[in-house]
Amino acid sequence: MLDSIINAFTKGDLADLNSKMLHSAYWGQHNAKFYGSEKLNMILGNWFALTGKCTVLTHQTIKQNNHYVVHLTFEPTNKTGIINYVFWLETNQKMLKSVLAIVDTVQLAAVNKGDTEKVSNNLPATDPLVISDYDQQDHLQGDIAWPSSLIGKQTRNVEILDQWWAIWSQKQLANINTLYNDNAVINLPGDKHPQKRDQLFEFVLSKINTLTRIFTQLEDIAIDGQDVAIKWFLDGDEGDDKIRLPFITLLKIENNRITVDTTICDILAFNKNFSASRVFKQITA
Amino acid sequence: MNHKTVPTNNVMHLPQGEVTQLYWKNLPELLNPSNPKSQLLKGFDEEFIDIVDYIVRITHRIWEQKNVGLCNQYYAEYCPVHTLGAYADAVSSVVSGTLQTISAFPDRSLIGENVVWRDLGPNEGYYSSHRITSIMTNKGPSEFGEATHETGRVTTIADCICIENKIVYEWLVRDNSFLVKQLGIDVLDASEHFAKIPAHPKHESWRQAEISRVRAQEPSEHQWKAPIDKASVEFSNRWLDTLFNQKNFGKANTFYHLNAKLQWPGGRQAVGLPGIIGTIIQWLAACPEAQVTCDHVCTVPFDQGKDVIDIAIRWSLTGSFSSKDKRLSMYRGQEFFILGASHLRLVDGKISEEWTVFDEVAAYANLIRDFNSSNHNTGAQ
Repeated sequence: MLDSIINAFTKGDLADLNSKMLHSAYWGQHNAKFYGSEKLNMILGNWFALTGKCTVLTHQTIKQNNHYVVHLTFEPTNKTGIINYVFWLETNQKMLKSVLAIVDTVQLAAVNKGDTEKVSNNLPATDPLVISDYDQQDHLQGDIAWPSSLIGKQTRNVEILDQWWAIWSQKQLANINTLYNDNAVINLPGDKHPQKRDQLFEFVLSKINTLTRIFTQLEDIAIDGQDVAIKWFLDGDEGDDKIRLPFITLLKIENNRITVDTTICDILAFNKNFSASRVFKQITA
Repeated sequence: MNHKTVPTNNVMHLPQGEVTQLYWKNLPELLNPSNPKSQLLKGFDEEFIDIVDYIVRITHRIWEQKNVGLCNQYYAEYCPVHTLGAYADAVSSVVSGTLQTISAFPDRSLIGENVVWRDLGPNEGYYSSHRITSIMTNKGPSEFGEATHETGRVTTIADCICIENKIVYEWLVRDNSFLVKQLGIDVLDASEHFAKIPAHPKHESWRQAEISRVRAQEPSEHQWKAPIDKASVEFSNRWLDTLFNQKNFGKANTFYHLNAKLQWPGGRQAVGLPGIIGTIIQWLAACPEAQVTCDHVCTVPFDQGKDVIDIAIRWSLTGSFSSKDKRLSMYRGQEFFILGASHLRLVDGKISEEWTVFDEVAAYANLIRDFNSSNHNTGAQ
C-alpha cells in the first residue's frame, strides 16, 4: 500500500492505486467524500496541478488491525518547500475500503508562491455538514472518550496519551512542558520548519482563545510500538456559528516523553467551509 | 476502530453461514460469484447463490446496466412500494419511475454498502435491507426542480420482501435533503416543488393509517414468525423506545460507544455521545411529543470472529409538528410523519456506527400538501 500511494503521488501511477481500491471505497479529503471511478483522477489531478512532480523526503507508517496510517513528507522537484500529507487507510492488507487524507494546504500554497487563493479555488466543494448543537459538558457521566477509555488502561504509553489529550480536551497547557522532550520535534499545520514547545503552547492557546464552548472528540487511535496516530476533531462556538476542525496527530513516545509531534489539519478547506471563522485569521503561506 | 467495552447487551446472533458479505468484496467478484449456493432460494433463478447476491446483481442490472425493463422480471406485477412522498403498486410504475430518475440523473451509480437480510421461511421468501450510496449528476428536471447540473451523492435504504425471484413489497427511504443541498437547491424549495406533484390516493390513506397506528403504538401489520435473534430485536426496540419515546438521553451510553459515529439526514454528522445526543435532541425538538414504533428488525453477523453484528431497523414516527424555524412556522400543529430506516453496526453489544435515513424533503412536502389541502377545503387563502 505504501508503494502504491508513493507511486501515485510522485509518478502519477493512477492504475496501481486504483486497482487496490474497492468499488465501494471512498476517498475523504478537504471535508468531502469522493466515491466512484473519478475519485482518484480528481485527487491526483489537483495534486499534480499544484505541486508538479515531487519526491518523498520522509515516510512513516503506523499499522494496527485494519488501520494503516501513512505519513509522507513531499518535496517538489523545484525544492520550493515541503508538504505534509497523512493518509488514514482502512484496509484488509489487499484492498482499500476507505481513505481519510489530510494534506497541509498552507504548505501546498507555500510551494505555489504563497498563493492561498489559487489552492483554495482548486479545492472541491465540501459536503453539506450540519453540526447539531449539544451540551459539551460531561456532568460527571464519564461519557467523553479518553485514550484510555478507547484503547484500555493496560496499553503501553496510555498514561502519556491521556495527559496529551488533556492539553486539548481540558486546556491543560502545563502538560506541554512535562510531556514533551526538551528537544521534541513539533510539526504544526502550515509551518515550514519544526517548532519548539513554546510554539505548540501558542498554537493550542490561539485555538482555545478564539472559541467558546470548546469540545474535542477522539475518533480513532492506532498504536504501533512507540508510534501513535490519533484522529480527532475540535468543535467550538464562534459567535453564532459552530465550527469543526478535524486533525490527525502523529506522536512518537520514547522513554515516557513525546519526542515527535506532527499535527495536521486542512486550514484552507476549513476556511472555505467556515468562511466567517477567525480561527486561522491572516493565514499566509 | 477502538471500542473497548464490556458487552452489556448480550447480543447473540443467528449464523450467517456462507451468505455473501459485501464489505470487503470488489464489484467483479460480486457480479461473478464463485461460491456454491448457500441458501434454499425457492423459486429464484438458479444463477443466484443467496439473497445478497440476488439483491446486488439485480440492482446492478437495472440501474447501472440500464436494463430498466428488467423491473418487469424482478418485480411482481402488483408490488406496493412505499416512500414517504409517494406510492406505487404496479410494476409499470416502477419501470417509469426508474426511467425518469435515470433521465434526470443519467450517470447514477449505485454502490452497495450493505445488505442485512432475514430468511422469512420457505414460503415467505426473504427480507432484505439494502444500504446504497448513489453518486449522480442532475442533468434533467427532477421531482426537486429544474436541472442544476451539479453532482451529488445520497444514501438510500431499500427494504424489500423477495419471494420466488421477485420483489413483492418495498419500503424505500432516501436522504433527499443531503442530495438537494449538494445540487444547490434549498431543502424547503425542493419540498415546495415536490408538494406540487399530486399524491397517489393510496399514499394518503396509507400515511393516515400509519399515523393512527403509530399514535396508538400498535405494531406494523407486516410481521413474520420466522426466527430472529431476540437480543437484537430487544436492543432495537429499547434503542428506539429509550431515545425517541421516553427521551431519556442520559441512557445513550448504554447503546453507543464513546467514539461511535453517526450519519443522519441532511449532512448531520456526529462522533461521540455529546454530539449523538445533540443530534437526536435538536431533531426531536421539531416534534417534541413524537412517538415511534419499531416496525421491522433484521440482523446478520458482520465479523464472525469477533462480536460484531449489523442490525437493520425500519421504524415510523409521528407527532405534532412544532418547529421553531420561521419558514416552517405555518405548519405548526400539523401531523408530522417519518418513515425511517437505520443500519447499526454493533461491536461488543454497543453501536460503533449508525446510518439513519429518512426523507426530509418528502416529510416537509407532506406538511405543505396537508396545509394546502386544509386551506383549500376551508376556503382560506
